[in-house]
Amino acid sequence: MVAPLAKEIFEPETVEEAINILHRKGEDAAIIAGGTDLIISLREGVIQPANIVDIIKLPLNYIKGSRAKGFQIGATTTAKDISTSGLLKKELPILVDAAIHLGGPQTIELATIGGNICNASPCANFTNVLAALDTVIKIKGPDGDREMMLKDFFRGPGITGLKRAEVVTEIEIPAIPGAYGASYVKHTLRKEMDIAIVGAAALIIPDANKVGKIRVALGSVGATVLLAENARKILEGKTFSSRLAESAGKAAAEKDASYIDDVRASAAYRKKITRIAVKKAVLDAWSMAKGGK
Amino acid sequence: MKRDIKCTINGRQRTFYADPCASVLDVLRDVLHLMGTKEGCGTGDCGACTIIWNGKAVNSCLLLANRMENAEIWTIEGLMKDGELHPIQQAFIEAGATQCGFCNPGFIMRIKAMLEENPDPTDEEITQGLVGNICRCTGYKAIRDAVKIAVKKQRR
Repeated sequence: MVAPLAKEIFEPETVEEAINILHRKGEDAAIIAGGTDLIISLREGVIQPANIVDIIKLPLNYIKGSRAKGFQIGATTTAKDISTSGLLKKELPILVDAAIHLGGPQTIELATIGGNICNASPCANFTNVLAALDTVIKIKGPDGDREMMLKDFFRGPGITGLKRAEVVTEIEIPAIPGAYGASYVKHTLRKEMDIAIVGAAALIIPDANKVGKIRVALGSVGATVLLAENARKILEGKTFSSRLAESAGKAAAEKDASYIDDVRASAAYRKKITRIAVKKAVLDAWSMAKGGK
Repeated sequence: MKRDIKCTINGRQRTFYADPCASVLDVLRDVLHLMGTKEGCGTGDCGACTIIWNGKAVNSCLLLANRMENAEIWTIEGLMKDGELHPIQQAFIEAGATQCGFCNPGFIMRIKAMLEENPDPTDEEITQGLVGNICRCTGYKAIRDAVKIAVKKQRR
């Protein structure tokens, strides 16, 4: 039986047109980009908007910039486009890694980076990695343009800081000059097909043998993706050692993360894995920064 | 609200009256009566509903019918040519990669797209390429064997 998932679908071709439709329809509209999360929510009745605004025709599918100057990625760029980007493979492989492990091949073809962020899942791959990269979200809406730091964008599971009729148009990753290391550890049971039980992303810019800049972002261990500030404090400015990475893992697991029991794992298991995942992400990032893999 | 949708399905231009807010899977099966594409989970986990849409293997349960407009779509029904099975279909028979058969159309469409992108995949690439499809009968070995047989057939 054909069961339509909404009453009407709009296909704007400009961002302004999309904002106008969203403004007119108010709460009774949902944006669709890749659809791999939204359609499931529609089918399961989690949300029941009368109107769907399909933004796939907006000119937001692009990957621009460089590591020296920063990257701009359009919101409807798919995980497939990111996973196959020669530029990103060379200059920001951690994002390619997040894209490859986002889901199965069929999901990767459709899922977009903007959708992964706006779905506001605390487990989302791109969000987890982008949080460690100090990413900025570019937003357009009826009251004009604005920016938000990704780490401040989330209010809770499924809840973003977007106001009525606003659209995320671009993801901006600031410049990462010089030597750096970045690593994403996603712990799952069915590899690509599973949502992360724990995700840990680390970015390190070394200062000789010391940890210069460090960011550790955690997924699936809180109501939103979060920055592990206690882990950062342990690492920042210190001479690197594997014991230091171990301490950072311990701090992240004990002080930064919070845990729930759910269908994917118990809280106790998540805590053990967080400690290991953070340690591994930090070790891998340091190794890359020092010219390793 | 229903409207006329125009696209190419299995090499043939089609215009049909359907709801753009329905899933492509529902439209294929219930409007166009192309029953080869199966619904497994309905949440993008099992791959049984995989079709090729504009050259990409996608789950048709997670695509709305508005995206059919002007698209080029291939389903399992489009693979046979002049009464001959497609080499991937033939390879499934030869490898014994089918038991209940429910997952086969999805696997075969995914394999078709995979081999178009990468005509000579390694064992690891075959395994990775099929992570989005579930088979509850064969244990996957026969399916991987079928991919290797299909690679040889297509090289000829």
